[in-house]
Amino acid sequence: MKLVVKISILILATLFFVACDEPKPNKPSVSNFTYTKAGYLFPTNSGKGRVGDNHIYAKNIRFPIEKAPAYINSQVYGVGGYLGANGSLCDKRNYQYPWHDNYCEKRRWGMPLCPTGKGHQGVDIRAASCHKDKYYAVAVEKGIITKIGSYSVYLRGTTGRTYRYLHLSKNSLKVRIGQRVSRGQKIGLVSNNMGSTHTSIHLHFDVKETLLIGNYSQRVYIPIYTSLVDSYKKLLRGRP
Amino acid sequence: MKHILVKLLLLSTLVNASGVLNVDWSGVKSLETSNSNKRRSLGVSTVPKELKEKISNIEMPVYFPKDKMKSKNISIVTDTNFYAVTIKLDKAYLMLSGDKTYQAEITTSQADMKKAIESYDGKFIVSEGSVNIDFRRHGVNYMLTVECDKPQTDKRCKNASFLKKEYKKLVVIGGKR
Repeated sequence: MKLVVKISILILATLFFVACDEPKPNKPSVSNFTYTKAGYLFPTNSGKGRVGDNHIYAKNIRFPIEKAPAYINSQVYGVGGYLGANGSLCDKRNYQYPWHDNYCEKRRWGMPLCPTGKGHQGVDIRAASCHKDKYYAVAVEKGIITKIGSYSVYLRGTTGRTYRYLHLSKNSLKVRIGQRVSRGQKIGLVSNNMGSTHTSIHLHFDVKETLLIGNYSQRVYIPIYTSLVDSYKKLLRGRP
Repeated sequence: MKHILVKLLLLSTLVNASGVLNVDWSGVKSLETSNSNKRRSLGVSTVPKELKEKISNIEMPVYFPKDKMKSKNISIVTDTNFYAVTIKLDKAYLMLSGDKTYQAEITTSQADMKKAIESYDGKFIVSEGSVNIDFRRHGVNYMLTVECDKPQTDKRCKNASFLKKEYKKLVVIGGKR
């Protein structure tokens, strides 16, 4: 009997310390929210962003994670990342402001709007805490779910833009191909799904739209950071 | 040179003006209207009735992999200005979409901006867990992607060979003029 009590105390103590060690989410308010400018990637060796381009490409979208706080920063170069500082992916430094743009972060594949011609197609967003399958990704605008892959969900908004949500828990998906969704409608839970393999717990979010130059058009991944800053402020103000 | 290009890119004016692109139907050879000899040369049969019905409202040339028209694992979402196809393969997804809308107009006469974007056209991009190609035909835009359940080990997602083969299989199966 004594042994059972001792084990119970040990478990409770462990749970208490684990809980204490978790990063505390910042209080979600506009006054606490800080971010670096678009194109300024962090750390600086993580690539060349589109410095100087502060255009809000996707105006009036809703922030893609249901609730604040959320954190835009690098998965690869962040603490615990593949090329980041030593530590846990759940390190509290990954769950704090300021936000850092990671569109155009170093990658080996082609990206026409990146200064080097290569880079990350979108941005990586961490939800409030380092728990998978807890926070919902939501529709950024009214539209229709057009494709669902191994670890991707494509939403085509009424604007004609295509929004891609990656790494959601497949079992948690609240949508199916062909389903019409409203702005803010739940899509699925932020997770680490990458088919049968895993990545870090985050939402990769990217946006494609067609740019027209003269009579030439091309569908490309657009810089989305400024649009997300704008939409996040609205979320913090309670008007997502 | 790259710095100059970047500055030029940033200086261009972007206008959020959306619209619909004009389809250039000249030269479009649809399987739907091809005779049996032509279809035989392509190694395909007629477009299944169910598939034909699903694409009947799309006002652009509809590309489709010629060997997958009878697949039972096809999901199609259509509108007059776009279509999106998901074909479930064995432990992978082949996705195809076409779109005739635009969302922003770049009001510039710069050849460089156009050049940067043009350079992306028709290139096979092997990225994290998937391979894709964006291509422009008949004045509108298409995308073909393969996404794998096991991206780190599945050859279809580790290089462009598989998608190149799939790309070559694309034929126009219809589209409302």
